[in-house]
Amino acid sequence: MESIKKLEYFSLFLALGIIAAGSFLKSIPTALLFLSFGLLVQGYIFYLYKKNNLVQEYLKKKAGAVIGGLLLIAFFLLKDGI
Amino acid sequence: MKRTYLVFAALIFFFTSCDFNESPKLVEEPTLTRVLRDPLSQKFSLALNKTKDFNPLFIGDQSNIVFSRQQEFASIADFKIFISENFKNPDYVFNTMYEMAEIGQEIREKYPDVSNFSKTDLESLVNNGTELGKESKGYNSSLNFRIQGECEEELKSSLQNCQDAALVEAAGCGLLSPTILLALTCGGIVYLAELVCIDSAGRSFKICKKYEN
Repeated sequence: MESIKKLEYFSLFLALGIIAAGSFLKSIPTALLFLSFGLLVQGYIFYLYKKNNLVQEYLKKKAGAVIGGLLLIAFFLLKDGI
Repeated sequence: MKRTYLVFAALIFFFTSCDFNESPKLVEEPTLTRVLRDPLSQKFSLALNKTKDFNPLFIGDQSNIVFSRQQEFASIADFKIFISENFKNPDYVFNTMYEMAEIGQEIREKYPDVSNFSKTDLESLVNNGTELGKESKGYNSSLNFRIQGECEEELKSSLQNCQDAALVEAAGCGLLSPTILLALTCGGIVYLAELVCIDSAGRSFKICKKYEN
């Protein structure tokens, strides 16, 4: 369980890496590369949850985060039009 | 490059036809050396180097241009018409040529013998100008020069880039954060980063506008 927590923080660190690559290095391909790697890490995290029979807990937490992400995408798409 | 010298030649033809109150005098041997040493000559060389920017601005028919037929311009108005018909951004082209011709006229007044310069002497003057242009650190026209509308295009592209980056970052926050709270916190950072990106694009636009002619 401890290793899963560490991986989750690492995943969050990758999200910050995406921000750095996209906004400060101004390189969208690098940001996408970080995102792809992050998705692989997420896949591994899901595997670890499954191994510990905690899939329900993972989905509950992840659903919230994904909804948050969708809200953010909607915000950045629509904010100029508002 | 060849066209630049043709333009230079056209200017010489043009201004030779405009103002000639001075009678030709005997060529003194050190005149070329004195002209080359004079700061006016350096100013003229820098102005001459600016004409390198004209190549991408030329829109006329190269085979039918006036100076290729060695035709002289009757007046400044004719010259202006020629510029407006054959160059993009004609005001910039005309002002640059006018500046160069003014300095040329000053040189002529200071050194009347310039009128009697041979082709070789003129070539030395032009070559000296080209060398000065290469050495000049403050002048890098091809990099800094902007044509009208280019800055707006760059700003539009930068802003689009900022938005695209923000979308990728927001997707990253949503997919890689373990909880909704962390995802929204991450989104806040994305928002701040986007503000910085937009501000940076705005500053680049202002700098770009300074170099637009």
